[in-house]
Amino acid sequence: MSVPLTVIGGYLGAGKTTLLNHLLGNNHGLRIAALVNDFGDINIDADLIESADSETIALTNGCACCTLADGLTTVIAALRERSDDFDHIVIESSGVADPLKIGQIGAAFGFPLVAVTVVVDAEMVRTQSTDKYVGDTVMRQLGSADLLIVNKSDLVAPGELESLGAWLAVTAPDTPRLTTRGGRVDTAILLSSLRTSDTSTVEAGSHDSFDSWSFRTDAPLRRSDVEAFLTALSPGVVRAKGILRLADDTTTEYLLQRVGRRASLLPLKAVSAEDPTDTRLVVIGVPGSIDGELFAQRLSGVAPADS
Amino acid sequence: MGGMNARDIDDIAADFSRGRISRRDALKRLAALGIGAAAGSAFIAACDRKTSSSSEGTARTPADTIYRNGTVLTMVDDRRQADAVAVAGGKILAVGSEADVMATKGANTVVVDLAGHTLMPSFIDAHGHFMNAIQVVKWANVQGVPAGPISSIADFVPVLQEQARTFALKPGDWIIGYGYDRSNLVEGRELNVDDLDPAFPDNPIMLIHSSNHGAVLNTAAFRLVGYDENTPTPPGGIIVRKPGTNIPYGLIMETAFLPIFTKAPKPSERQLLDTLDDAQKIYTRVGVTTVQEGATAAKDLRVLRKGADEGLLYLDVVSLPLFLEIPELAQDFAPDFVGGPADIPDEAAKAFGTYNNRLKLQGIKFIIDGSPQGKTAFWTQPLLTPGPDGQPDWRGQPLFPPETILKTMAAVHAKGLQVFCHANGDAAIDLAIDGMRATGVKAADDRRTVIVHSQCMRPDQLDPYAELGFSPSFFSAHTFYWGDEHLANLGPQRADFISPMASAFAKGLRCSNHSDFSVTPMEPMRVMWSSMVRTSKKGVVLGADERIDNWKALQALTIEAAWQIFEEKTKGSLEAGKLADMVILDANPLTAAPEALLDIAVLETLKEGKTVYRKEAA
Repeated sequence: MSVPLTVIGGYLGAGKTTLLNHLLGNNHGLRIAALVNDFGDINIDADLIESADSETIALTNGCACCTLADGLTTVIAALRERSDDFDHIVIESSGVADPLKIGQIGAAFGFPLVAVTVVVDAEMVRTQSTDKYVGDTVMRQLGSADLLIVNKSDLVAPGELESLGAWLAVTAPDTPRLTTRGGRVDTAILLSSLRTSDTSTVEAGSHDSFDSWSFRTDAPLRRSDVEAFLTALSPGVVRAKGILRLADDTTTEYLLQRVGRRASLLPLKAVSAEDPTDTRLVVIGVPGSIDGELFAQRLSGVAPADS
Repeated sequence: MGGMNARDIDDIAADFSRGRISRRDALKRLAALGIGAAAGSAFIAACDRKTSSSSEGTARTPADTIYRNGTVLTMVDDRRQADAVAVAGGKILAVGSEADVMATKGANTVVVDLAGHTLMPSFIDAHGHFMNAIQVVKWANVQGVPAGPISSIADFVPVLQEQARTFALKPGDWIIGYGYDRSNLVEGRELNVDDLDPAFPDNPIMLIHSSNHGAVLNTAAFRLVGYDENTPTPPGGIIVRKPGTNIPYGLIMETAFLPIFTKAPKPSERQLLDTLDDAQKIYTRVGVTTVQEGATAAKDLRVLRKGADEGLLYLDVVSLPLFLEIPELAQDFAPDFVGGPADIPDEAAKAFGTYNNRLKLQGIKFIIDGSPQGKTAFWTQPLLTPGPDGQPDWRGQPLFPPETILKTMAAVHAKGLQVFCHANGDAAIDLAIDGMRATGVKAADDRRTVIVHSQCMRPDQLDPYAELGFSPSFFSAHTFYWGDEHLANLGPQRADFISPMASAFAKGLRCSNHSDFSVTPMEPMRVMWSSMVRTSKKGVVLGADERIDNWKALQALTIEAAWQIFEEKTKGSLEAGKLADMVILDANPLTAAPEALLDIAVLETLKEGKTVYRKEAA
């Protein structure tokens, strides 16, 4: 199976590296290959470091951190040769890059893009968005985001956070947001793997509280119903993940991913039509965004798609 | 004064006056002969007077070679021309009248009859990419006329067949070309596999697009990289398909190209070193003897250093390490180094400014934006046309966060290193101005900050250039190669001020002019011509007021370029004591009409008096 790819973008100082430090040091069971511009700000507990040279740091938890000194395409081509070693690729894009373009380059090398996440400095982003040099660059980054991570939320007053949310809702419409501080984001929400157990808990450090909904059925779903279900999800839904059996292709198991507003439905593995595997799905969102009854109706083709 | 003899003193005088030894070494040797410091200094001053004034022509030592009976362009403002030049020990011994120069003739002096041809200082590559030369010498040039041989679909196969013959390629070997662009073809369509496959059924072909963002492949190449009718087009990419089918038909671009490019064969370090000779010939055959590697990565510097240590360089190579590579370069010397580009070690400055086996690090290269023709430059005002991905109101963007650039620039400057800053758009130039102004630098500090390209300057940026001591290295050939595109993208007002050489000289700035090789061909006469006519391929003049005369145009390729790399005391003009880096041309570029410049041929190129190129007799 192809290793999924997540890009972490955002302007200089938003907290991309802090977020990455958090992901790499976390005990999540995922073997992450993180591609970073330089090691300057990478800060990993020395006990976790298995080996290190000027281009790669290998961690005892199976993760690795590689610099992009030789260029993104060279590094990612090399990574393709050892994709069995990793469960997830994370690229930290430079402070002015369009992270969607970085994601497209990664996808061109066979790593399916599951999310472009853009980290936002809660205190600075609105000033940055009008800067004479980088204002339009910052705005383009926000427009490329599938998921916004509003970081450093502890540095602004609650009222400010609210007006920032309203501004982001206009600036980056329909883009789900996580609010956090110190880059602490739930790995299960940001990344994806079959190794992670379904979760609805969110770590301390987040301002958000989430509801979740789990679904299981032994009846294959219609592809059009799944697509309609995904389209109708509100921006409050930050994450969905599932193993699906589809009626039009009973010999394949599918992986459903939705991170922020980007959804993908990819063939996972060939199975026999008689294989008893159920369809399983979990959806995570802010309170009010989850309506389990309606979701179940949509997935079984009962509810109209536009309700 | 026991033990000394007149012969020893003569030797010392000869070595010193030819520049073989320094004043200090001469004094030391004189002291060893028992001559005290005061007497020694007086003696040396006397030697100095004898040779420093060329017109006296009474040097004690005879010339190795004298060049006479032609036009000699000194490139010195107040005495532009001379009758003859004498060379000794790789340096210029005398320049001046026939009589004065001939006075340096000794029994073994070779007198060269220039037969009416023109002798002048060889050209200095003010900005270009020597590592590209090492790469492209093994590739086929499929650029359009005049940069290459291509004007129609039918031109490709013969060029590629010639390439296969030249390098004795076997079936299955890659044939790589560079500079492909549909806009050069009279047919106005893309080259496709049907054009290439009949002649090349077995050799994979990759013709890299002029943007470097794509390529045309033949069927053998598609087979090798695994592209077929089942290959989906990746987001952000282009795969041109054969009409009515899904079969890849030739051109692939962007994300469809990147994974392919990493599969093309990469030369080993040995192969790179083995091409150094051919790479230098690109320069010698057009009269260039000082070459720039103007954006050097750490791994490339290792190759260059190895080539230098093995004695493979016979031209002077000026390397400008990229600012992003500072940490890796620092690790080469200090394995425990940790930090970013702004943490440049204190000791670093010592590695700069002197040649070692013909390789010199001169300054740190910053890159603020991309290129105007690629629409990746950074302007303050939007283009009149959409951005590279169709974006409306596109004005480009910086390649790095301004904070990162400014912080590193300040650190590099504080360590005493010279800053070379790539800036094409006026917003990128604003950033360079902001960055250097923050260091407190003034023109009087003589730091010679070079703003490479300075293409889309605004008139109001000339004053800060003068104030901060900036020196632009212009790229006037853009008015020819992309002038028509610039008019469409920028409008006439902005396009007319591209590489404003006349305004910059009038402001008292020192300006060089470059080809940015391999972005455009290594062709000094084309560069000179472009600064004098500023005429596009379609024949439109961009900014008639910014055209300069022959003299200034030539100075921008010689003495001005030497000054930018702190070599004006040894290069860039013909004066006694300077290096005998010279070129012999078949016509005089100072008096030639602009159109005639492009026909001027290099007959011979000399590096420190030694012939490094001689045109074969027709």
